[in-house]
This record gives sequence, structure tokens and C-alpha cells, in this order.
Amino acid sequence: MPLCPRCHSWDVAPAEVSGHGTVASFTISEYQWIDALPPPYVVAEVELVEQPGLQVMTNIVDLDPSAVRIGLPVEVCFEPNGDVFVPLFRPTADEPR
Amino acid sequence: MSTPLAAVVTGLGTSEVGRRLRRDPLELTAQACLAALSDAGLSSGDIDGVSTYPGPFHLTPGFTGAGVVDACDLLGITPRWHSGGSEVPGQLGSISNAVLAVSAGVADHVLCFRTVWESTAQLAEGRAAAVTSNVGFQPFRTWGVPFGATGVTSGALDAQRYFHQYGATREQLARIALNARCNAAANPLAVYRDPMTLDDYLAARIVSSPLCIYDCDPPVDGSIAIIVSNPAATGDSERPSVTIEAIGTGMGYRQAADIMWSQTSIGPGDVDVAEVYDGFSIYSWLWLEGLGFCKPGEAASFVEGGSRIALDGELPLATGGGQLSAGRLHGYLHVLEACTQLRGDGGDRQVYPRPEVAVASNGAVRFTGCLLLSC
Repeated sequence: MPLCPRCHSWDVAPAEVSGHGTVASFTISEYQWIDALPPPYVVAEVELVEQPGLQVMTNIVDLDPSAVRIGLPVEVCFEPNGDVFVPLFRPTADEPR
Repeated sequence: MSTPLAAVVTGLGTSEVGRRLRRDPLELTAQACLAALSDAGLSSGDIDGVSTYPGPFHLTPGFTGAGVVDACDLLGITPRWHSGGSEVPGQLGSISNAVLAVSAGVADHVLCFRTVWESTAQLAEGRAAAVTSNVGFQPFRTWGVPFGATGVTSGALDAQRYFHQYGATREQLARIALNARCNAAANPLAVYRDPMTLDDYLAARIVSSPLCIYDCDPPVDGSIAIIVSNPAATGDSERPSVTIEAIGTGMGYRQAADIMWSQTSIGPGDVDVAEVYDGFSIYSWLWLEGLGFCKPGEAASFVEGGSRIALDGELPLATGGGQLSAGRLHGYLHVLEACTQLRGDGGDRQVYPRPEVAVASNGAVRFTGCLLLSC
């Protein structure tokens, strides 16, 4: 987004966020669509704590897929992949696994 | 706001439809268009407008089989007006564009068509190539595919959120697929017509939770053509014509429906048959709510048990099997079936008494459109 869609200000820039959020919705994919992701894997929309409606698409890791639920508190963890770091999410440290 | 629409559906046509037909999609397109011309009693020389979705190109293999120029070259049409693109109000946005064109007097008879050959294309390209490219719009693709998000992910996330928010269940969602399969039995066009039970549904393979294989429309090959005409250009034809009362063109189920209802004195309670989009079963729930047949969160109980949406129910739904059982003819199927029911041509799946008002809706999320039809 090169500008703010609400006030049309061009004074916008990337901002650091905490990496904390909650699972807004999720699905357990039982199909191998891409080589790197053997099923089952969890695709989730995570809503970041900074702003209602601010959601990112991600995978939930470090948790049995059947234990994922809407509202689960999660935190980001970065997976190195080539020259990028892919933002994945895992249950927050104080959340019982 | 009153909208002086002046448009009728004068011709309906289909090609052969099936799985893995291995036919040239141009041939399928020509079959459907010629059938629609014949149905309307028109010749290609009468056609002065052409409209299609999504045009000749798309990233998903087999997602489109012909564009406007192809249709003109196939049939020898010289249009005064044409339109073919993907950013329209749902797949039937190509039809609502035609409604506007004939109402404005820019064209008299617009040939609308949609051709798919995904079933055959996936033989060469593979299923994964199809679903990872079929994610609707660019941001989702960029930010979703690295996480294994595909076309079904969007529907699955919607369904999971709905189940959580309203306490709905797979047993309730099953009614969409079971009703479609039941109605498909009497539709010669439908690709899956064998009976299906609730136990079959509940035992089916999960694709992306909570959606199972029967919640997802199967790719097919086929083409549907629909001719939209200005009523002043139809002369004193004895042929049955279906009036397009209103068009829903907003972005979103409710937004599209509200615009449609704002153009007419007809309301949801007047609708005799509903052909709502079912690319994934959950979308039918969201359309039933968006169109005002029930309140948000009530679709699960609205369809529970299946009697209300059956052919002899208060609101017959997916009377030809929908995309879930008739196949992914991608939007045009719903318009075709609505018109077929209004004309009383439904054969063993005809709703009685013959419906006088029908709604057809297409698409999902913000790619949405609907039509209100009467006869």
C-alpha cells in the first residue's frame, strides 16, 4: 500500500509489530498441494494484536494440528528459506501445548 | 433507486458437458452458442453483442476456453458492443454487463458465454497447478501460496469461522451437497447423479477441514451460452422469454444482493426458486444469508433436514444439482437452471407450480453478482 486508503496520506512506511496475535480462522489441509508441505498442515489467518482486522496468512507450527483452535494466542517465528525469512506462527510461550 | 432495465433472456444453450472430454474448447464454445441461437430463433447475423467471463486468458489451466474474438471468429459475428474480462460482479457479471448494454440500446442481442475445460487441462497440468493458481486475486496468491493456501483454503477458512461463530456442524453443511446430489439425479447435464447419503458425506475424505470432497465442486469440461436481448428487438416471438428484473453488482454477498433488491418491488419472500453459487458448499450458506432468505448465522438451521430447500420445499435450491453435482460450469450453470425452471423446462426436476420468480447468484467474498429473473 503506497498510501493510507482512509485519509490518502502518502506518509506511510513499514512499521515493526510485536509478532503476537490470535488465530482468527484456520484449516487443516489434508492434501499435498506443494512439495514443501506434506499434509496435514495448518493454514491460518492470524490477527495481530496491533489492530483489529490486521490479518496475515500463515502456517501454525509446533502444535498438533488437531489442537489448533480459533482464538489461540500465537507468536511469530521465522523460518529461513533461501534469501527470505518466512513468518510462521506457534503457540505463545505461556500457552499450554 | 429505480433502474430502467430492459432485458430478457431469449436463448439458452449448452455444449456436451463431462469429465475429461478431451475436446477442443472452441468446439464446446461453438456447440453452446449454436444451441442458444437455435433456442432463440436467431441467426449469428442477429447477434450484435458478445460478452464473456473471464476473457481468453487466465492463470488457471482450463479456466477459460474462448474469448470474445474467438466467438466472433467461430460464428462470424460482427459486434456493435463487446465485453470480456475478469473483474466483473461474479462470473455472471458478464451477463449483467450485457443487461446494461441492451438496456442502454447499445446492442439488441448479446451472446453471453462461459467455457471451461479444467477437467481435461488438469490431465496435463496436474491438480496442484490448478488449485495453487486458482486463488482469485493476486494478494492472496502472493501471500498465501507459500503457506500451502489454495483455492479451497478460502472456503475452508470461511467455513471454520462460521462453525465457530454460530456453532454450526458438518451435518448441517451436508444438506447443501445432499440436496444438490438429489436434484442432479434428474438433470441429464449433471456429471454426478448417483445417490448420496449423510453417512457417505460424513465418511468422505476431508480436503481442507471442515470441507470434505463433496463440499467442493468437481472440474468439468463444457460451455453454456445465454442470449440477452432488448425486449423491443424480440418482435412478437411466441418463444418464452425470461425477464431480468434486477442485477446485483456490489462487492460482497450482501452488498450485491442489496443493490439487486433496491431495483425492484420484488423481495426475498417472493422468490420461488434459488440457484445460489456453490463452488464450495459454505458459499451457499453465505448467499442465502446475503440475499435475505434468512438472517446472518441462520443458514445452518434454514437448511437443516433439507426439506425447506428440496424441490417441493418452500425455497427449492440448486434444482439442477448445482456445481457440486452438475459440475463446475462456473456460474453460468446457475443462470441456466434458473431460466430453465422459469420456462417450465425442468423435466423430472421441474418445480411445481412453475416458478415465476428466481434468483441466481455467483461468486464469493468480493467477487459477487446476482440476478433476479421472472417469467
